[in-house]
Amino acid sequence: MRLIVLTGFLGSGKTTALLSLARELQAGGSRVAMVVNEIGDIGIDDRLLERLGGNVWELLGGCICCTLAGRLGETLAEVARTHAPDVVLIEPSGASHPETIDGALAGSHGPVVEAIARLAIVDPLRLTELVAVLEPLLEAHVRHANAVLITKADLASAAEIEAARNWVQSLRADLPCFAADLKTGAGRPPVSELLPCLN
Amino acid sequence: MSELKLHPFATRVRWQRRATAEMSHEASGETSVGTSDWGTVLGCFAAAIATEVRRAGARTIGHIKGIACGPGQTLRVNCVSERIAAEVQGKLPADVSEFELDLVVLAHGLAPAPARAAVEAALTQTCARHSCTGILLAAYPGREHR
Repeated sequence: MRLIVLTGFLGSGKTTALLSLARELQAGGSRVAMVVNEIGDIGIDDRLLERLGGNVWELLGGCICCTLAGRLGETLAEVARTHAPDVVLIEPSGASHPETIDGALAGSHGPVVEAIARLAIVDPLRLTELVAVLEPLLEAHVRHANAVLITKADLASAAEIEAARNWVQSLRADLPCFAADLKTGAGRPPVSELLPCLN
Repeated sequence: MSELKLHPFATRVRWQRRATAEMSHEASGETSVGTSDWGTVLGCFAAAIATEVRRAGARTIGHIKGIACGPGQTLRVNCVSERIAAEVQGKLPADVSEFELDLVVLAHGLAPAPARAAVEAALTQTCARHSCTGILLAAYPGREHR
């Protein structure tokens, strides 16, 4: 079982990215499961994904980087037992810190995990505003990633996308970084190219 | 700059088309839900919440998101900033006169009480503008994330 963890701040486009990746993987014949964590007590994203026909496990009312850390391992074990997926897409809450998610994954015993890929989602429309307020968290998403996806390419200006790309490069010049409109898929490379560490 | 301080506020809102006899939009210039649609109403609502939570002191908006599920159809609304238009996806059946919206407000640096007040203020504004009724059915002030 391979894991793809999508990190990024609230509202950056993680659910849309997850859906986009899930569709591609399913179309390619992979068995896909999704684990969605929402900090609020009402699930929004999981209901959308379920409506769209996904195999979704929800973790509500806390964050898998802290209050629900223990439940991540339990959930992955249940996913493995009941669904036996090839790939599990994990969407932590937008408040979670990637370092502590890694800790939660490291502490999860049970399912055999062959590989973990971390994809950081960056919102170019709000980057300046968010970096001014929450720079350490946003930087951590990039520093712990295997690749970066700059979302909302349909809404952002060329200058905003370039600024986001430069910001990513200033933190991790080695990272593959793509700008995409995830609603249409334009600009997003296939998973094999986006996250070669999974191959 | 600060560490993220987030206290989610979740609620369920029942929306209803206002009865014809109650509607005063022709005189007041209001728009009724009969002529706009629920997507427009919810987009307006989310944008108003964004404005209100910033006014209430949120350092930044994380995510305002809602979902309403009808038979075979889903209407979803997202707003991430008071300066970026709310995004509405999907729709509800054209003849729906009443539905429930599940809503989560995630704003950095805003406690549940002012978040609730912001939602109530936005609800009042939206209902007045679109000649509809919105009632908060339940509220779920979740655990704070630090």
